[in-house]
Amino acid sequence: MKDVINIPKVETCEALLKHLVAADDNAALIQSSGATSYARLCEMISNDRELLRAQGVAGAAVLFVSEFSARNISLLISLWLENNVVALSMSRQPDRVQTLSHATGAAFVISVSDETNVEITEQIDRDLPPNVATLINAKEPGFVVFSSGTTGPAKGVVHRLQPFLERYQNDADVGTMLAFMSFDHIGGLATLFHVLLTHGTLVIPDERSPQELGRCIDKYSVNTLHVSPTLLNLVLVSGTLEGRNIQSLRKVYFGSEPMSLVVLDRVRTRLPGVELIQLYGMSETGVLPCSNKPNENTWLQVQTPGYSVEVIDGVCNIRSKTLMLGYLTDEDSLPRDTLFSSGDMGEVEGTYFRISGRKMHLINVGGINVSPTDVEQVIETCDNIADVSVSGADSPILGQVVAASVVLKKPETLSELKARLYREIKGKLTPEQIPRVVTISEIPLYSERFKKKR
Amino acid sequence: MLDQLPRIISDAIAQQNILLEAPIDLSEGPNSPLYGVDSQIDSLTLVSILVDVEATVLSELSLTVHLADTSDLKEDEKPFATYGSLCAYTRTRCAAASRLVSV
Repeated sequence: MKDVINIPKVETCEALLKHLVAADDNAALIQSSGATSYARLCEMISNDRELLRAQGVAGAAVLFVSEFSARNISLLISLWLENNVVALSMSRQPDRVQTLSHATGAAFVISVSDETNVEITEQIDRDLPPNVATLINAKEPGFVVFSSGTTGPAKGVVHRLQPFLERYQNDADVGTMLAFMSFDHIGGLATLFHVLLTHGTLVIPDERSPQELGRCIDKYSVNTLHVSPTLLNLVLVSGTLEGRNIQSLRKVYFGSEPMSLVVLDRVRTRLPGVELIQLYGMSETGVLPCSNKPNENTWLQVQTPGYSVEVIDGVCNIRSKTLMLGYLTDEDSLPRDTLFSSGDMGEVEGTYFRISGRKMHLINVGGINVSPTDVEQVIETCDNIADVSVSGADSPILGQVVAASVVLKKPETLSELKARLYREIKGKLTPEQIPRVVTISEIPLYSERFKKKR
Repeated sequence: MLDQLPRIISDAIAQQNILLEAPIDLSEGPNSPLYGVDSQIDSLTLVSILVDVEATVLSELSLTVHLADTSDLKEDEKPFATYGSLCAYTRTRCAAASRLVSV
């Protein structure tokens, strides 16, 4: 890995650009189509700024339909340089795009095809959410990530960009790092910031699969990973590292869901000499700068000024410089010193804390949060369904999967029901949202006030 | 009793075909790849198949098996690699559960 380059403090997006320029011919990005140097990335940014200016895309809310690619990274930085607030979505489904565009008050929807064709669509009848308006009025760049679900009301989390630039410029060198979290996920953005601000190299996989992870480590000599525990488990179960040269791997960051001790032991055995670091954070707070107790990755501590986790009445409360400004639906912004309740249950031992239980209600399917309500709203519309209650079922492979308990209007066998449900919900729910466990309940799912499963 | 297993597993696979763009190809018989280096399916589909097989084994054979929990296997064992390896692994699990039941 390279030494960390001593550079001026990156406090603004313009300073970020100068920071990128300083890395010159070093490789910034690698994807199947080839490598992009920092110098080339800066050229692309310059061209994309011209394009945005020509279209009047400045100081606005923008929905950017995108995933990891050199062109999309160039456009994202260009949008920030023009003081836009950028909502990120990987989904190209027209309904989803319309919902998110409306929720964000987007003046423009931007998408890229084939790395060359940039489509910019101006939106009408837009109403800026207060927290987005706050940023735009202050001529300050920002971003919006959506924290769960793909149906129902969009729960957007509004962030200022600047705290993230400050957060990652002093972080540990990552060398060559694989972009395995999604571009529209706080973890994916964390990977992007971490690489660019430490002058590392970002490897963009062709797809997110255990097989592709093994191929990329081998082919591009990846030094650092940031992945979910589920993915690490799947890599071991599928044997996709066998026959691969993984000598380059130095560090694995993992987070976004609990890690089982069995899987952790297996990872240690399979990857001897690789430093394993559990991280903690959420869309609302950003990823905290964590260190782990030696050889006990489940115990974390946060010692960077401006960041802390306090366990109060058994619940983890987070103080973070990268705390959100607020949700899209909030009328007011959160004060900067807010102690944010994560809803996760925690334990304390000295200066360390451990997550002992996750937020109620949300189902964590391999690191993707699924809202039971979103799934219920779709299943309720299917034929012969009198009522449905959705919850999480434990899965040794994925942590949790979605389980649906339904009351039928007229009798049907379980196999008939499941086949019919799958036909009806295909395309309406994401793979993570699809109930993998389906049961028929003979009794009503409602108690006086709450659904029984919850 | 365990002769039913290939049928139970192929039914569970067929159930998943409804959700997939392309059906899972079992034309190579026991050597048909499922989950691994030459993966035909993703992890969610794998979990779905295992859940369905577990449920059918319980309802038809009255045996409780936990196929997704591989924590007791050696690291080089790949029970989900092919249709054949999944059948063999399920048979082993069912045989163990059957012994427990008869004891």
